[in-house]
Amino acid sequence: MGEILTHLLNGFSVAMTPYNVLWLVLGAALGTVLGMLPGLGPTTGIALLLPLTFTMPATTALIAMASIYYGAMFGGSRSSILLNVPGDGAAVASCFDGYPMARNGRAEAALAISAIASFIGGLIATVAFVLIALPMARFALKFGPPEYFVLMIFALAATAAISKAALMKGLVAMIFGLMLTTVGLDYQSGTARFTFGISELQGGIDFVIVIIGIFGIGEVFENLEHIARDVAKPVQTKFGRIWITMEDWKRCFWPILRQTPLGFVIGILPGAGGTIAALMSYNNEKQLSKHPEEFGKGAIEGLAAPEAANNACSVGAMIPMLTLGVPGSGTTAIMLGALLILGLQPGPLLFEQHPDIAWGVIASMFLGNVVCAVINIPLAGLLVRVLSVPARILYPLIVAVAFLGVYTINFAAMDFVLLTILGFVGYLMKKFKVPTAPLILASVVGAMMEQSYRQSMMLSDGSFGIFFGSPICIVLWIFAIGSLAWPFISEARAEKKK
Amino acid sequence: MRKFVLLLMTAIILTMASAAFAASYPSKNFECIAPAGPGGGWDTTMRMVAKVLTEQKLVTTAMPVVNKPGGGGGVALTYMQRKKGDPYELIVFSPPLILINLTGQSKLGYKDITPISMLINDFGAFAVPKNSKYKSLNEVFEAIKKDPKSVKIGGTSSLGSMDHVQFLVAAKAAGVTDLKGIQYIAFQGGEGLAAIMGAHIDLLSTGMAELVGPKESGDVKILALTSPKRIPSGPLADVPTLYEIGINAEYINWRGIFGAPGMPEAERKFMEDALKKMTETADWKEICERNGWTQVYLNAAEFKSFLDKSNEETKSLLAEIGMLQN
Amino acid sequence: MRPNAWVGLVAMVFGFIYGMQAIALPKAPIGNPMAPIYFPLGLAVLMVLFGAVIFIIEALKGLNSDDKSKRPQFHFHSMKLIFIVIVLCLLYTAMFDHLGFVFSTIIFLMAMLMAINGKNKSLQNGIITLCFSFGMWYIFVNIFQINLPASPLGIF
Repeated sequence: MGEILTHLLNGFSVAMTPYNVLWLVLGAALGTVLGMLPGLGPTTGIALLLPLTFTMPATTALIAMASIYYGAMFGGSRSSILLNVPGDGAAVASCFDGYPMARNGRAEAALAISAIASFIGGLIATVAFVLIALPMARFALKFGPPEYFVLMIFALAATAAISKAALMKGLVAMIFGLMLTTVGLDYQSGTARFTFGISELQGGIDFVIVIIGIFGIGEVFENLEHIARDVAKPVQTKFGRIWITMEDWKRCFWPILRQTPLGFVIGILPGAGGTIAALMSYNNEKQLSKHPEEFGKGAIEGLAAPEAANNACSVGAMIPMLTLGVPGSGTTAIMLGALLILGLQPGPLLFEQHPDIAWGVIASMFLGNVVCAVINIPLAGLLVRVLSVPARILYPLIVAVAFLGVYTINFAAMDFVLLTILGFVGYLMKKFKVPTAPLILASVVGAMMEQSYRQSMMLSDGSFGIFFGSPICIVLWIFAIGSLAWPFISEARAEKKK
Repeated sequence: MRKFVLLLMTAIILTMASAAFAASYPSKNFECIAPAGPGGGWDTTMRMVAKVLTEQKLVTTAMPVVNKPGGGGGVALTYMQRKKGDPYELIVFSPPLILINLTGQSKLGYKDITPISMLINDFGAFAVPKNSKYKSLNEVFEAIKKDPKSVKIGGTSSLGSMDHVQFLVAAKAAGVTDLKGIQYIAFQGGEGLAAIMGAHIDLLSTGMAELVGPKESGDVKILALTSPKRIPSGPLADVPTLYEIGINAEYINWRGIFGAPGMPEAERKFMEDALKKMTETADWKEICERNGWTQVYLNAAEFKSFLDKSNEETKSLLAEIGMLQN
Repeated sequence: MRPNAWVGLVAMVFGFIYGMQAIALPKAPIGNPMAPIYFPLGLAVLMVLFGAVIFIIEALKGLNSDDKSKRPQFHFHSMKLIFIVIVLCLLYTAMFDHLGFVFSTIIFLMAMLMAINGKNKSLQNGIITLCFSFGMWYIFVNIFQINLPASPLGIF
């Protein structure tokens, strides 16, 4: 313990040099801006910074990249809350209750709690990083294809349960989401599926496009309808302070603490990511809540939980990259590439050979969280004014920004067609009250679910026993069945109490 | 209409270039294409080449890098066809250029762009978990010969792509006859590394750079590299080549620069020379060393014959496993 | 018809078409030739099944027995505006690579603003369009260093 403290203090002295702090602030600001724009996220931000990092000392480069990552995680939910257009995949869960809050005139509280929850989630996760990074990374290696398959089942089961009122329609939406993930080159067989000869489709439909299409463009279409009938909501002209009430805080306290560990663990698993963490924590919180009927209508804890989980996840995602040299996501893969170019080899030895760098980065995680929170609260006061832009001007601009952002994912105008079609599908789903959350989660986990299933079947030569062969699998099955059964159990308990 | 404008512009540029003297090329900005998203190997190579060429004043006009990802490079190949004869289009490619064509992923192939120079070599590696029962690659192949199903091979790219093919090349040279029976399981990126470190698979076939970290931490053992010669220094210096363990094979992950189809001879020659001079600069050497790339240089003619040879070899291999489409 | 019955019907039809496409997918060259097809086929079956269940439940309630005022409303003016924007989006897709970002965005955004914000506000629309198109070009190309398609003119 004492040794850790010494290392950490040493790390702070490395991270606190003016030059490093400057890059920390710049990175956090750039990340926040990129995170807000739909389609642009941490991956693009870090890739952009890549050429610049060659001229920096390794510690500075790593600090700058990590702060972009955190900044983007903070920024992603800004547009979710204000416009119902998620800035990136992980911010989609912030739409569910953040946007209704903004519509109810509570945009200031929503922006504040999202920054506060992000801050606390990130902070707790960083402390966890300091204490248990290495054993956790070793534990994550126990997850093989069968474990991933059952984990994906668990994630889907949790979402299926969320839409209890419209269970069948939710299942249809889920299957549709899974169908979207079958487009593209099939990894196991190398054959193209549902690409219709279009080479742009071989890489599959990026789930960020699905999310921005279904939510963002779908939202625009819905608002066009209101505009055409002259019933668009009036613009907000008065803005309050970006802060929350004591009662809000009391409602959010436990959800933040409960969902942070979940996000952290999901982050450590290579391949899972912020979107899964945020959606799962939202579902969990809805199931645990005493008033689940408020969820989706502006329940503040429904916003706080995914925000905390999402930021804890981004800290967790650094663990396999730094301690094992295994990149768990697109973002950390680019960071790993940059480290190699700087002549650093991430892995357990990084902590032995370059303790100043390793601990400097950890210290910068603490500082990064503080800086992001400090940037975001005043920034929110500025951003909230977007609500004073008349809808007739705002929505055409949102469409243009969304298209531009989506272009940077694949650099293919083809994606605009997908975005438009998905937007119209999203609009129709809203009109017919088909839940969209199962579709979103399915489009994130679908590819991994199918691939890990087929990897497992190849490993076991076709025996299904492999899905029950490890303690982790069994535990995950219990969770999956539990989350399906929980709504019914809690209902029965409520009945009894009456 | 657009085609017409382009043709007209191309025609004007061509006349200008040939009517005046060769020194008038380059007279406008290039478009350097990375056929993948930002941050990967193709993108880094293209950006580094553009950087050194302009910094060393070997090319005097700007060389912005444009990303055209998709279809394993197929999207960029299609794009290049629209730029026929345009000497201001450059693109970087590596073995997938040959593979995506042969496996039918793209109708276009290396014959549809103009090779200028090969610049970099990189190599594959085969790793096993630290407690593996296999002490050498030969033992792995013996086990496969007895029962192909008993050894699960993982790779970090899809069936019929580099990680798969480099293992097949080695297996074939080692005398494995049932290449089709080899159990290849495709993973995506870091998941493959995690799978070998967690011993969920028996062997991982991937690029050598990815395995340095896990090797140094002792989580995996690298049995062999696909390079023709031993890596002279660094953490991989103690890993044998396939030749050294009695397997007569190598697999080169080459990277080179190409021009648009029908790139005019004079301009191609100019770029070839510029790239040649670039490889001799200290800056370029330093970049190669930092990225762990083995520096090579093949001129256009040598590069072309290398591609022809590689294409034929890959063709027969893919035919053997029934993946040959074109 | 009840709105949910429509959902069931669409799910069935979509699942069926998707299933037909799935059967026609290329077989795997190595290993089980049907391996790439099982998952899509399973999805198609489930989609048709769930769609049918929804439809049957609604049919049992009586397909037209619902409160008609609660059905989703599609007003002519709303649908016209949405339709115009969809067409503009598709036109934008077609123009984007050929005209370059700046010029295609000027056309796209101006047309959208004219349709949504009103034709009588040309000046406001024009200023917003120009600021956005050139501003975003500057930010992306010069600050972020992300290259957007340029026009055949060579500038922007």
